[in-house]
Amino acid sequence: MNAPCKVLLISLGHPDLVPGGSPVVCQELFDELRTRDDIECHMLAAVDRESGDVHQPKEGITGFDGRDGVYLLHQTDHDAWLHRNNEPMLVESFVALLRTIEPDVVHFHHFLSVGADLIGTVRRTLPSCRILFTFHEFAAICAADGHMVRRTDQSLCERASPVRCHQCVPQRSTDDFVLRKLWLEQQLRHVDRFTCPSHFMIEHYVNWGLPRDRISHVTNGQRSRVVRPILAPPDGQRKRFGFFGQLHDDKGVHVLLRAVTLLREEGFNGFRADINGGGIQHASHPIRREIEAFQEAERQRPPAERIVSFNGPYSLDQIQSRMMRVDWAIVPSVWWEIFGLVISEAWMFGRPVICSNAGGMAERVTHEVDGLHFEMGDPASLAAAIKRACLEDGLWQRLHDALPEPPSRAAMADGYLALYQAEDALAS
Amino acid sequence: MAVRPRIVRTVIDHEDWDDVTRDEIDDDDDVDSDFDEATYLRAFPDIAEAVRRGTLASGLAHFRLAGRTEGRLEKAEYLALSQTHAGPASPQVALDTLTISPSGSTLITGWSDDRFDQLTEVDLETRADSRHNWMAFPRLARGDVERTLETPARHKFGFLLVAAPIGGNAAPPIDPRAANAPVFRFASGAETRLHRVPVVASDADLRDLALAALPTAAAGELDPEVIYSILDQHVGVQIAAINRLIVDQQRSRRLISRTGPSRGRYRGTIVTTLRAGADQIVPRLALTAGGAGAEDYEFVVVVTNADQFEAASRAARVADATLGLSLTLILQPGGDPAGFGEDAAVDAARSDRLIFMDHNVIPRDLDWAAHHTALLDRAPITQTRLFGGMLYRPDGALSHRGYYFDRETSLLTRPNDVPYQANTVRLNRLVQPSRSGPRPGPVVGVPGAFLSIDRRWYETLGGFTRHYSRAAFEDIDLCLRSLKLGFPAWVHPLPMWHFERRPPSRPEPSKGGAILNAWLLHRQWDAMIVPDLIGLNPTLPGGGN
Repeated sequence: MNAPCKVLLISLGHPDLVPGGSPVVCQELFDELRTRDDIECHMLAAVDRESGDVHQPKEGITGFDGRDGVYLLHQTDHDAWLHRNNEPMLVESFVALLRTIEPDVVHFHHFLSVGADLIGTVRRTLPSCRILFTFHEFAAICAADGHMVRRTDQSLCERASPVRCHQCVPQRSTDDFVLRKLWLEQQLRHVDRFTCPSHFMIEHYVNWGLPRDRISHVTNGQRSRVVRPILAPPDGQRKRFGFFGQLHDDKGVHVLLRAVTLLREEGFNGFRADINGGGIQHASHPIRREIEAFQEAERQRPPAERIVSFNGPYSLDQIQSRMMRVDWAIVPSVWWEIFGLVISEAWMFGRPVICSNAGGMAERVTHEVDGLHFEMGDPASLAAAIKRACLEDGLWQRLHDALPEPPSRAAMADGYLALYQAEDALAS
Repeated sequence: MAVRPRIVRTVIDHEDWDDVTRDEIDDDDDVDSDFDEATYLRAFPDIAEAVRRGTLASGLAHFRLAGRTEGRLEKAEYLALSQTHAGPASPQVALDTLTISPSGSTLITGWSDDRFDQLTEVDLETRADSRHNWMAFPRLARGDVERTLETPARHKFGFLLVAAPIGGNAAPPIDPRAANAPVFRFASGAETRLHRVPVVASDADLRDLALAALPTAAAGELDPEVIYSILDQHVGVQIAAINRLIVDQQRSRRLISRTGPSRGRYRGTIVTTLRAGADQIVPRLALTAGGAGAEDYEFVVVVTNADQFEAASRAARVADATLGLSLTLILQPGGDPAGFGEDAAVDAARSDRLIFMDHNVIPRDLDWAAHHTALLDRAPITQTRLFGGMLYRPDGALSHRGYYFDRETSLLTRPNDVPYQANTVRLNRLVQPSRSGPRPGPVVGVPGAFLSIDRRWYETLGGFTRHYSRAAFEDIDLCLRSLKLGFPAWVHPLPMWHFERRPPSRPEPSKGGAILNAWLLHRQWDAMIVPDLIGLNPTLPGGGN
């Protein structure tokens, strides 16, 4: 019997400690691989001081909560510009972990919080190890939050250049961006295979300079979150809408609120919108002020006149109860939204998606087939879609009936396993 | 009593730079015991004037040349003065600065109303067996004194006296506060002793004080003739000697640690003197050592800023864990004088090839080390003994493919006078691509930002000069010394990124330091530069540029 393939997954954070799609995906992959007989899987997740007492900055790497195969990388003195580590004890601990596990595959899910320098460290420590890297957004290309949204006018960015990047991050010189790219390219050259969960992302990275033949598409997958029987929605109009996600600028909740305002002004009040999510502290000041003002105004209205409910943050264990309260999921993101886990979650519960017509959203949701698109960032366009969703007979059912199965975590794991075992490694 | 005159040169042979101090202490041979320098000059004003003009190095030089034969010591003028103990009343003298370092470096500034009895000599005994004696020194315009004395600006009242320690770095330390009061002697034989407790300063601080005095000494005139004439009168040589002393003092104070794999010998040693935060060490090393052939090279990083020592040590550990290259870290306090870090690195190098790379230079080609090795293996030694690469700005434009000299004429305004047309030789960078493309060829010099040199040749040339104030011109100085021996520097098409604008860059020398550096360069090399090396296509051994 062959020895199992040893895989080390590296995540920017643990989903029990930090919000965000990337840690969830990494955890899903870890859980799935742990069910496979021929795989020995470990996971290393970065943790920083925002995790309170869990963070042990003098320890380098520790276990986590008694969980088998799970380790925490206690981040400290991290260079968030070049994404590299200044703390020698941390990298020395990482080398020791590599030598202890001796993985056949190290699979990075991002370099944020982890450090891009650890990629080269794997190559140096274990020269024959296969290295995979999954892009979860555009942090390598874009130093402005990795979202490729121009800070100058909030338009979607198609390409990076030192001058364009300097315009978005004026506190950094054009030279800084050249050096940053040189550094990241130098680290990423150790990667055998890159993956993206959406096809459109591949084009961005090819344009940035990565060789196309080293980038593969592997979908994000999740376990089913359906824990109870899904009850049929009540008959009649489908006029309950839900937003699921962080309340910061790029997720576009403000676009939804503005659409509600437009509809209310024209006297169209016969619908409801649930806002599910937290993290408003990460929103820009104007957007935060707008959301909070809307929330306060809504609270001042008589209950019968209220359209929007702010339900607060939720855990994945609560996703079913939140989804069951709505007929439609609205994904109004004003950035590329590289995959949109919430789309998968909506599909799990048979909810068609109304989304911005860009990026991963447009790639996954087919307009008029299994969902509706609206013009990204345009409240009037979203208002029209909401109105149509409320009024058009048979629309919901038609779209509902065409919903695809959301990608499973098993399908995701199979996609990665094929790459783990491919014969095109760079390793010497 | 025998006097040790200071050597003053108006045009300085660069080979004598290292011997400045030695010359001063070797002259005490076979002198008539009745000879006294001060008396001799006072007795014979024509000789004193020749010394002041620089025609003669000293009265002693005249005595040896002709005075002994002429029987000058038996002449009535000399005998009368040497037997006179009481002289006339001294002119007024005032000290602005009396600063002495524990090694014996000295800075004196002040003024004297010697319109009617010329100040001819200043004498300072720093300890029983060591004294500074200035027979020729620059006189400076002093507007403040002129206003106080209500005299037309015809007389230069001020003086600037600088001296490196006699005996250089080998001299035993002194107690500056125990130094005798300086004595000011005048043509009439009168003398004044000014009692004042000296300010004690380090050599570096004293040097900086002297440099700071230069722009003031020129009374606002940036005319090179004015400034250079001040420096010519011993001041430039002495500050340069102090610069060298400062470097030499620090050489024994260093901590060397090596990490990573270790071999007996390497193909080359890549030397970087850190002039930025230690956080730049690892990225630089990763981008320099990440390609093919780099395993044949060792890396030396010299840190001279004590504030960065701990961070640099941590960075070396990170580099060891993440990059695994052969790294020597040298922690050597002392700031950033010219040649300082480079000297330390050469001492620790384990190869016959030295590659100096600024912290803000990064190879454009990841496999540059393999190309560098191939160049050493295949190109004639005349083309690789000393060479540079092609430096590019991050925007892609060529920023440096060697130096060239050209003439520069500028108009300098003078108060209440017509503008003065100054002709100077200027050092420039070649920034236009060669018409024939990036091809190798000889140049008058290559920048120290990326400079590869055979180690034995480096040692033959004496390494980077340490006379300059901070780093300036030490690269062209090295290249000109090589050229003088018949081997010009070459440039080869090794492309490098040059992040010149990235802060914090190498600190610029002070205004006075820049003046000193320009003077050092021009006084040493102008005779060689003009006319053969002027222009974009100078005639060089091995072909034109």
